[in-house]
Amino acid sequence: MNSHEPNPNADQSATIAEPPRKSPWSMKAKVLRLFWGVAEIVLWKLSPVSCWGFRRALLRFFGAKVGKGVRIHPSVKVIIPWHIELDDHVVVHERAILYALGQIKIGRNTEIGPLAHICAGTHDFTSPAFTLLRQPITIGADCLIGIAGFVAPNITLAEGTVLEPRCPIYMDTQPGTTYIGNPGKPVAVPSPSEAVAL
Amino acid sequence: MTRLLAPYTPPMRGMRSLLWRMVSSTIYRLVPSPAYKVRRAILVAFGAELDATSRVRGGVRISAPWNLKMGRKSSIGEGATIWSHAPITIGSRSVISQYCFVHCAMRDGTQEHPEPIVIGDDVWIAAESVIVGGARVPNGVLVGARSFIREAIDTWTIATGHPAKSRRERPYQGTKS
Repeated sequence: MNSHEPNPNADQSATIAEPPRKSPWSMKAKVLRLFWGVAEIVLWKLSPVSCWGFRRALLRFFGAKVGKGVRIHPSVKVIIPWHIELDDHVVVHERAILYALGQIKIGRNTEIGPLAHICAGTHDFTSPAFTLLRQPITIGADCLIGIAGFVAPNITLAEGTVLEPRCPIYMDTQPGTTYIGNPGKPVAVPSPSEAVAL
Repeated sequence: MTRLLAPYTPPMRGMRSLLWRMVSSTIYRLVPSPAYKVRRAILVAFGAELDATSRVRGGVRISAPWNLKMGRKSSIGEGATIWSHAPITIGSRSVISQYCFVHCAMRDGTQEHPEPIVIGDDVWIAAESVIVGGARVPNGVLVGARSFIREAIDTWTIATGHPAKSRRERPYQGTKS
């Protein structure tokens, strides 16, 4: 079969062996996620923007570890709150997505820009079962994820990493480095002599 | 400049479009995310050709379900946008992840000429990728998160970037279709 072009008229019955579909979530997790889903609609999204403390308390109630002075906007989507760990003074801006299927750990004073996507979940793409992998993300202190940045699963962002707007990052980063482009690459740092010339 | 300022008008006419806009903005939106069967029934009632094992998660916006065709065990993730003004065909065991944007027009930056999109079998289009009209994603391709599909991609490869290019072969333990 010439599979270079997908065949829109392909036979829809199972032609090759397919592993059975099995939910990766336990019943307990399903029930908890249902509770959080209701609370998210009723309490989280409808809370006034200035009620930062209320949302901190709500996250703590659902098992998140939230430090002092953390500010999360009500339009932020937190998939599973008991998987997130935020240190003091973390700020998460409008419509960011904390896709916390795995653990997401964010260090002190880090800022997550609007529309950013912290995606701590992937699939085992080598296996036909397409198993869900819940891989952790660690973001260090004093990082800045720019507008609509993307952080891939199983990654550690070192202290002081900066992601430029719209930059997806798929690898561990060096401390104090700026990343730009798709896929994200470090911005060339001028050598000390050039820096003086600037 | 006028084009940027012009309001967005999907090229859809007739009672079916009107009815779908009413249903999709009310009842369809309120179906809870795990209720795949209810959502599938609504889409099939509006003419979508969905396999009984396919899944569309909640928060997926579909502009014209009668142009959508999904194969066995394929799924569309939460919050994806499917502007199906031309036919969109998704093969078997393919996954479109959360917040992807599948748009049948926009290839030349305009809405005027919607072109069909064909996605093969065992494809995974990872989160927040963008596919525009006329794109063909062959079997077994893994499109990395946040990619934009424009150029031709080889079968069973991993493609990432903007525009997405085939970077390396995709390792796979099962039978390659």
